[in-house]
Amino acid sequence: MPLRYVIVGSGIAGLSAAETIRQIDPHGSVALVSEESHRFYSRPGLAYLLRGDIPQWQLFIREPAEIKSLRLERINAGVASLDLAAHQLTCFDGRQIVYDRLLLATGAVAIPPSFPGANLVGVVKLDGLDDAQRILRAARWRRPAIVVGGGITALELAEGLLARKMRVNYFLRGKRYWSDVLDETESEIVMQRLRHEGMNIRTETQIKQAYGSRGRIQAVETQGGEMIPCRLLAVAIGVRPRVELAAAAGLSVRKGVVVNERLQADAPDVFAAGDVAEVIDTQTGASSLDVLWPIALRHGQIAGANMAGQEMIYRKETSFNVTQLAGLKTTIIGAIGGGKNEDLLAITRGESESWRAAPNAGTVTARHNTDRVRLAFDQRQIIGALVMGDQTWSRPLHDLIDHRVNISPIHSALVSGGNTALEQLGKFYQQWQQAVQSASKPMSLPRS
Amino acid sequence: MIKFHCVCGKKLKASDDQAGRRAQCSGCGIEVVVPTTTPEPSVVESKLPAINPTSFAPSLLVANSPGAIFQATADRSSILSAGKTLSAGFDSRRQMLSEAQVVPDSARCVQCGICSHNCPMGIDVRGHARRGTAIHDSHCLTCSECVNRCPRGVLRFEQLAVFVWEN
Repeated sequence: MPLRYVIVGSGIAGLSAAETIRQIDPHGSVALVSEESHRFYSRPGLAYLLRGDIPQWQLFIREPAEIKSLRLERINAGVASLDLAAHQLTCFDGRQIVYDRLLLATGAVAIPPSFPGANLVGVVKLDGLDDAQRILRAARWRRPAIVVGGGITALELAEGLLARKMRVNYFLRGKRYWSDVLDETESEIVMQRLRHEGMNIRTETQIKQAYGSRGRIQAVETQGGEMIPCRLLAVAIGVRPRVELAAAAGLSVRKGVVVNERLQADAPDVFAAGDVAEVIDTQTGASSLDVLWPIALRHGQIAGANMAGQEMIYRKETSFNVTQLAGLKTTIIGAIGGGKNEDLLAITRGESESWRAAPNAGTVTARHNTDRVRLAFDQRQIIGALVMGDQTWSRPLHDLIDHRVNISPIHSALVSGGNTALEQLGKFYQQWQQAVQSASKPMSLPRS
Repeated sequence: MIKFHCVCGKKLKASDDQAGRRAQCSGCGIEVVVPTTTPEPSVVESKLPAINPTSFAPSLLVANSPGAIFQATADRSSILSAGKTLSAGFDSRRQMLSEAQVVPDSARCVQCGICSHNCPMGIDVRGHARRGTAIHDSHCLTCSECVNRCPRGVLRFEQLAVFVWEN
């Protein structure tokens, strides 16, 4: 009897799972249920769509022929409830879908603002392609826009609106941008560049209420009592995993849908992958949420394999992301942040909770104009790094952190800091690279 | 009689019993391995994709080529000078043109498509990045558009394996 696989969600986790299942099991039926009717697209690419770097059709990540070969049944519907015992989904339109193996890849959704007026037309978020299209339709030359929130998404929105020639005001509740990941120097670099691009940044400013007329936003009032005209209000204060379906069905849910290292939820034949999944480390019992595309992809592959009967274990690697902040390429790896951020209620897209876990670590920083390297280390290894601007150090630091390379030989050089620290690290890295390469190289043949 | 070319372009010939053995190019002096037979002329992909004229910006080539960057900033700061020892820099644009290929780090790719969108030769750079395969397409000009425009630092230039000698 061929198996019936059902996937809820059309993001990269769902797509990767479908592709992996098809590779392993050519006979089973694969159905993908999603509220979105779009072809599969790159969600991180939406930032570049807003900025005008790419047209919409460039976002789609699979050719029609590739999709056809998957023999996928795409069902455009929202899922209302899940009956674990009956192995059945019920959609909002009444359709019922039976499964042998189920994957919940429902992703995360932006947390809405809580002030009065939050549901006026013109208050926008950036979750998916529909949101991006809405923003592009609403953006008008020289109209005032306000962005609130933090992290990567806030800048994606702000820079996107700036590229659409709106007058952009970025309101920060705190004193500086992304205070729980960047340090003061890095925040300052980013904020200066944003101002240089033409953005108006206001710190320690919080919105009390949004006002509108005929249902459309016209102005906002700050906590300080100031009234500011506003025709578009973009909010990026964090995302939360979409766990409602799982929670209502009785599955174990903490921050996300709880899964083990095979991405199995705590009911037979049910799996979860991507932004909605919370993978519990079997040894430590700890977990941290990642809202990152390559991790969602990996989740999808592993969940799909396990669903199709091929066992695969998810091994958590060091969380990292490379993104552009005010046009500066920035690599963030491992535990490099900490402290509070008043602009975010929760993790936002493109981030990992594990970045904020930098305990009492030594740090090395080096700066030249807008090029900056910062790394956090303890006695044994480098535990986190941030590389802004010139990216030469990005891969070397990623290697050293991911492979947990023992840096105790140069620990004292790192502690003394400054210019020599990085030079020593550079030499150390080269030696390590050569040692690794010669260990895996086959014996060289004698000359003829 | 085996006839073949050295990488410097000089035509070489060797007798059949020298097949597989190392020899020295009489032109540039580099060590070559005599092939077992006269190689077929190299095959270029038959389908030439349309050039996307709006994205080809020659002015970017010189300013952003890796060779230019590393030469200009060699003595500027510890970040860049220490970093210089770490990077696979090229000494000149010409060296890059002849010896370099675009290599992706697929773990960083988010499939946004900016690379493919800006390729003047219409190569599916995004597809290569997804699979993690280096671009061996003979249409690639090593123009560095994709490498420079990728917002995630996925793509880099590396020397073709044929030019890396083992000691």
